[in-house]
Amino acid sequence: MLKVQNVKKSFGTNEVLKGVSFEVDKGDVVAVLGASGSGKTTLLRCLEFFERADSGHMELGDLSVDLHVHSKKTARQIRQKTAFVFQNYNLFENKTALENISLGLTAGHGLSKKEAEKIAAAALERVGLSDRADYYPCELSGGQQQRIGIARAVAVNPDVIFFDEPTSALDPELVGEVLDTIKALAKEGTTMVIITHEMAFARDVSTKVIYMDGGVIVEQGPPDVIFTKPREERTRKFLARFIQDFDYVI
Amino acid sequence: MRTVEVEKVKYFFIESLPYLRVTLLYVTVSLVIGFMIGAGIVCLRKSRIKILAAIASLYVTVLRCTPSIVLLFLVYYGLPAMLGGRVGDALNRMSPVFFVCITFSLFIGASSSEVIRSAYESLRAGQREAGLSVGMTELQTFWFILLPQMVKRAIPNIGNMIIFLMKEGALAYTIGLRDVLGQAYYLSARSINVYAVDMYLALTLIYWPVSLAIEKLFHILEKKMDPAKARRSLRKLSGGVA
Ligand SMILES: Nc1ncnc2c1ncn2[C@@H]1O[C@H](COP(=O)(O)OP(=O)(O)OP(=O)(O)O)[C@@H](O)[C@H]1O
Ligand SMILES: [Mg+2]
Repeated sequence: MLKVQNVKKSFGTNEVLKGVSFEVDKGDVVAVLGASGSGKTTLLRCLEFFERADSGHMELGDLSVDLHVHSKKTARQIRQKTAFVFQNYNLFENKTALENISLGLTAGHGLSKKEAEKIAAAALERVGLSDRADYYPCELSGGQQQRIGIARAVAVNPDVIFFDEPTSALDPELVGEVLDTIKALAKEGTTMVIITHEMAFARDVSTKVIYMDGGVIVEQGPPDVIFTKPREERTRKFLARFIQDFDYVI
Repeated sequence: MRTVEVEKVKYFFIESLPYLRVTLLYVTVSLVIGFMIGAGIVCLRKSRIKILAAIASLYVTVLRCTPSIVLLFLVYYGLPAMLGGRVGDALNRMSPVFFVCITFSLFIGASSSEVIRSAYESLRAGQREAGLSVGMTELQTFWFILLPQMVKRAIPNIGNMIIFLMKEGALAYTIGLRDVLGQAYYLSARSINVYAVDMYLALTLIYWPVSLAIEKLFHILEKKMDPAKARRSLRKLSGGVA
């Protein structure tokens, strides 16, 4: 359903992505792992057209787009079929929780205000925040803000949702509620690509794991394969650092 | 020495007060046009064409270093002379308030560009991307999300600018502007300035309350623009009714 081919991106002389390709099927939950600076964020930002890739190609449903040469219109068409959950939530600070969700539906997708509010209310319900509908972001905890961020993404009914470290800006005691929300989406068959450092979560929830290092995908495969018998030495070394965590969590 | 006569103060006060509308006129016009210039400057400074960006920065620097009275004279005497011919003649027949508006628009253009820029830069860049990510256009993102927050942040500055403009307007008397101060001077001159002290007292009685009221107004506006606070007080209000 989503097919990404040969994405390359440099910042100045720093070659951050050196030809990344992967595929996502409907209902997949892809966990993207990798050390800091390996290019994970840049990859997803290229796919959402926040960065212009130097080259690369993307197919999403029946859309087929060059990641370097594209019109604003195609970028918007892709964005209407995807959604993004940010590390820092990035809620609209001048809008209530409900408006944060409904604005994407009215302005972004041309729904009527009434329809949008109905869908937004349902999305709030899904993330368990119906009672916070008319709260402003500054009145919500980080965990609540991120759940609104997730509801905003879910509400536009995208083909795929990209997550960039959705819990890494949160206080430890708030991580759980956000991970649980994402787990629930996974159970309902939502297609997601999630950059995360939460290994136990990745192993539990993903249907596919991508391990990146130095701007390339070193290894990808089902979680039970990657986590227990990775082929590549680099993957093994990276995971070894986290293995102890697993033993405690599981 | 003569003492202040309440009757005279009252006379100056009542006869000059209506001319606040002139003040109001040039303050409003200068703010509106000034902010449009300011927005243009910000766009130019962000533009990829280096020369345009440089011209815009130069404009801001030059205007910041120019005393208002110098610019006022340059615009009033210089502009018609520079343009010359029929345009110059037409300009020469324009009323002083026209030149005052041009001068202060140019000033506000420079200072508002700084206000707009800092309001923009203080916004979390992520909100723009969040808007785009749910399928909104750049324009929608700007209009629904960025602009309202920029206005909120700029409000205290706008209040200060109004007060600045009102006070600077006193200079415009030198090119014959009949605002509150111009009118008071005119009346005072008719009585060969015997009642000058009464006149200044009357002017103070006009400028102070107006400045105070504007300050207060913008204070309230600032609070009103904070949606979370506004809603909380609303909740309190409806709570009281129920
Ligand atoms: N806008 C930018 N300008 C210049 N360099 C950038 C920019 N964004 C990212 N980089 C560089 O690209 C490299 C990869 O960054 P990226 O954010 O994609 O890594 P990451 O895998 O997401 O790391 P982390 O786990 O720390 O989030 C880094 O060396 C970073 O310094
Ligand atoms: Mg990152």
